[in-house]
Amino acid sequence: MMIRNTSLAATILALGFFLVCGCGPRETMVEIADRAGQYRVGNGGEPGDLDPQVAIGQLEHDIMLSLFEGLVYGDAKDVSPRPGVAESWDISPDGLVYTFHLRQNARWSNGEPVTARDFCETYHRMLMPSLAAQYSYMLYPVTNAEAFNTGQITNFDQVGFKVVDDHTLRVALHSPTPYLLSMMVHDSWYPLPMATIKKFGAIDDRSNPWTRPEHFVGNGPFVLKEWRMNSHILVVKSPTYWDAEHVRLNSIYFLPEENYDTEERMFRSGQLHTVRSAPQSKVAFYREYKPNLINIYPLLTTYFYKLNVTRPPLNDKRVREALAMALDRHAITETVTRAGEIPAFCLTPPGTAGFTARAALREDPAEARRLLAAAGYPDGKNFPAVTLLYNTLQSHKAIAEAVQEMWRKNLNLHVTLQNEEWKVYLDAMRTTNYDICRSGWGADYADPSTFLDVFLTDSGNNGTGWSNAEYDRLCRAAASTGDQAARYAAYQKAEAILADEMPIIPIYIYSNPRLLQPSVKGWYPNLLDNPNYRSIYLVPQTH
Amino acid sequence: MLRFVARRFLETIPVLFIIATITFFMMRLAPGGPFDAEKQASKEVRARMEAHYGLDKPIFVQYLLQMKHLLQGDLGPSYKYPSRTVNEIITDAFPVSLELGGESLAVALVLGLLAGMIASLKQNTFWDHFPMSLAMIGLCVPTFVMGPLLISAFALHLDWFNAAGWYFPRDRVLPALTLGAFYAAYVARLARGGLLEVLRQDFIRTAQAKGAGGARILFKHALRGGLLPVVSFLGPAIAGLLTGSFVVETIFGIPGLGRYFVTAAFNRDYFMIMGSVLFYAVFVIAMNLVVDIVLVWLNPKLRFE
Repeated sequence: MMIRNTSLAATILALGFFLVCGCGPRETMVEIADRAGQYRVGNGGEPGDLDPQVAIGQLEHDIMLSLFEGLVYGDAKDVSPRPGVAESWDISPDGLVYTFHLRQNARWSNGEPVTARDFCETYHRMLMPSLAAQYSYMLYPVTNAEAFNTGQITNFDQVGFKVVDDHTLRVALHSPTPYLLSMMVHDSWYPLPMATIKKFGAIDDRSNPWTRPEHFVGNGPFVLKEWRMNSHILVVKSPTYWDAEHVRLNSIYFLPEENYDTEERMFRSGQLHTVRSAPQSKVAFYREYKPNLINIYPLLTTYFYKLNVTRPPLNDKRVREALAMALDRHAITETVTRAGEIPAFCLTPPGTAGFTARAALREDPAEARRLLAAAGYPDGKNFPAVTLLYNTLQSHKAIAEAVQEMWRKNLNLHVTLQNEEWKVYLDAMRTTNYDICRSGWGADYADPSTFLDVFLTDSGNNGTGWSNAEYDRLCRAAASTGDQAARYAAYQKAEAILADEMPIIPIYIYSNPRLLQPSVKGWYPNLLDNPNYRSIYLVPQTH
Repeated sequence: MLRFVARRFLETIPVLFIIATITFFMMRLAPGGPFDAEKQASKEVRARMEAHYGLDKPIFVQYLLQMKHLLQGDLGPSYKYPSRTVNEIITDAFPVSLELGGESLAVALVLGLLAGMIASLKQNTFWDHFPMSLAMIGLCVPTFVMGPLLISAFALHLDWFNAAGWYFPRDRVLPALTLGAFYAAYVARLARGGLLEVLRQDFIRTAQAKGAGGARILFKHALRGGLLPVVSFLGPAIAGLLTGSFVVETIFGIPGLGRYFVTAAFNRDYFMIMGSVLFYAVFVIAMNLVVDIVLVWLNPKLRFE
């Protein structure tokens, strides 16, 4: 019958279609890219923008690092400042004036020289109140930078940046800031092509489209070639970069995949050289069966719970201490998170720029019970209803459940768990509308101040309602002295106050499980997880 | 027919107005705002960003301003992607969703109609039970299971396709199958049902009596009436294929509009939410209109009224 023949023919056609599409070369994208010198990166999401003064996140940072270079750049291994556009610098004996000597051969990707004026104009833009740059505070150590940024003064000449000549920039500080060079590794200190920005709109317009590939000008080792939203960003080696001869990659291909599982599958099917973080559910598998593909290394990021000190019963210091002491952090990192996290007993990760807090909280369930009884809740009796808030994510839920169980077992307290969508959670945290909430803080630069400043009274990220005059005084004193020993002594006292007052419960220091193909060489883990595109190279693997 | 289209067009205007109004106030009622981030901006910076986008004005003024811009076809800027406008993002992303939707629809129609026709002609035999069981599975397995299963089999084990991405023609196969499978199953069941009903009618028996062959009966006589249920299903199906592609776009890393539709809400990217909601609304309304016209054309019992 004819019908049968027609449908049979159609079936064969359909099958043939799949076979033709299906059978292709066996070579993976990574293998092809290895030969072409193209590093393929799972970037974890679509960047909001590539303007270093507008973009704020880590995934934007990872791309911008390839496109720009500041006066200094972070070393591949320890992120310590190395000469970037500035080939050298002098620091005045009082630590208040930095004079940067710029390289004669530093060039923008359009061939123009990178000059001291470029830096000065860029910092002017960063500090314009109308730009509303979120990271403008990174420039606050500079004389009058804060005053200009907050509109108290309007003459930029009063701010401590001075162009001495085309290749000399002088930066005056209001107080010695020994970690200034470490701060300068951050995106907020990159120079921007101001002439290009002016060409495409007002310089203080957040929506200025100068970062489009057809307009883009940068001064980094790579230059933006293609940017298709949610598809890819391609940067290629910049021929005008002063140190181009030491850049070994020809291009970097960023795939902005925000779904961890999809990203990991792309890695497995040979589409990506690297994925920033393996999904938590896969870490154990890689550690066990593919240890050569996973690199686990600590980060300068702390996971902790914030306590709302304005609400009873958490307004009682003894209750906060009891909650913190009743946890078993090793049990959490070894049985719940299981990706090499380090239990945390203070806010600042140990060894941050050589600083390790001496004051640390103890884990002592018996003492915790005593404190709770002293606060009026013997054996958890009459303890008011308390809710633990976290943003909806499986890993936070698992930790919260473990904590809930530890408090139940050790203190006989029943805490309710509540998860909220990301923005709802952020809103609750910002407005201090919670009892206990999950939080975390990652360093912007390698110095204890990036952690301890979070809990200053007027910090936008404090969110606990906690305020301590002595703590504020110590942090400010530390920020205004050039004497490293005195600074760290002040930070020791600040950590001691935190450990005593306990507005937060530290839980662990993050570790990052990065996936890397064996062909990637010259990659080093570092505490800020800065990818070091300058040192990375690819070696095609033979089967 | 022209009057019919004109009337439907006029009806659309209040519908869109109501959708825009409800969307505006619903998104503003949701806690959290576009500038809430893991690292919160200082109060001053926040205030200045809000001023930049006019979020400091009274809510009703903002509403009127947005309505004014919408009337001018300006969907506004994106907060999440400061250097892009919503118009630009939609222009960029919609063709991708359209292509994925089109390919999935092709999968749905080819597989679905084929299975439905075979099953109806061979009722209660293996050729009926087998495709209909497959269709049942297709209906039951959600895309977020189907997608990873297909990837696991055809990309990771057989290595025929990439696990995700939208770069080469072959990258279209797995997403189109994943998204099309459910609709293929639905189409198969509808086509089988519709055809069976028509095949039992008198005019078919007449055709058989006149000596018409199976193919002639199916294609010349039965198909037109038998496919009516499929066509009425196509309106919502096309809308579903395009709006429901969020899951598939996420699993396969496809730069389509379905993802923005959902992530815009997570990001509280107000203009982006409004833009994508209205865009989809217009699209769904237009698709339903087309389907209505086709239905009248297929079924002489219906009239434009």
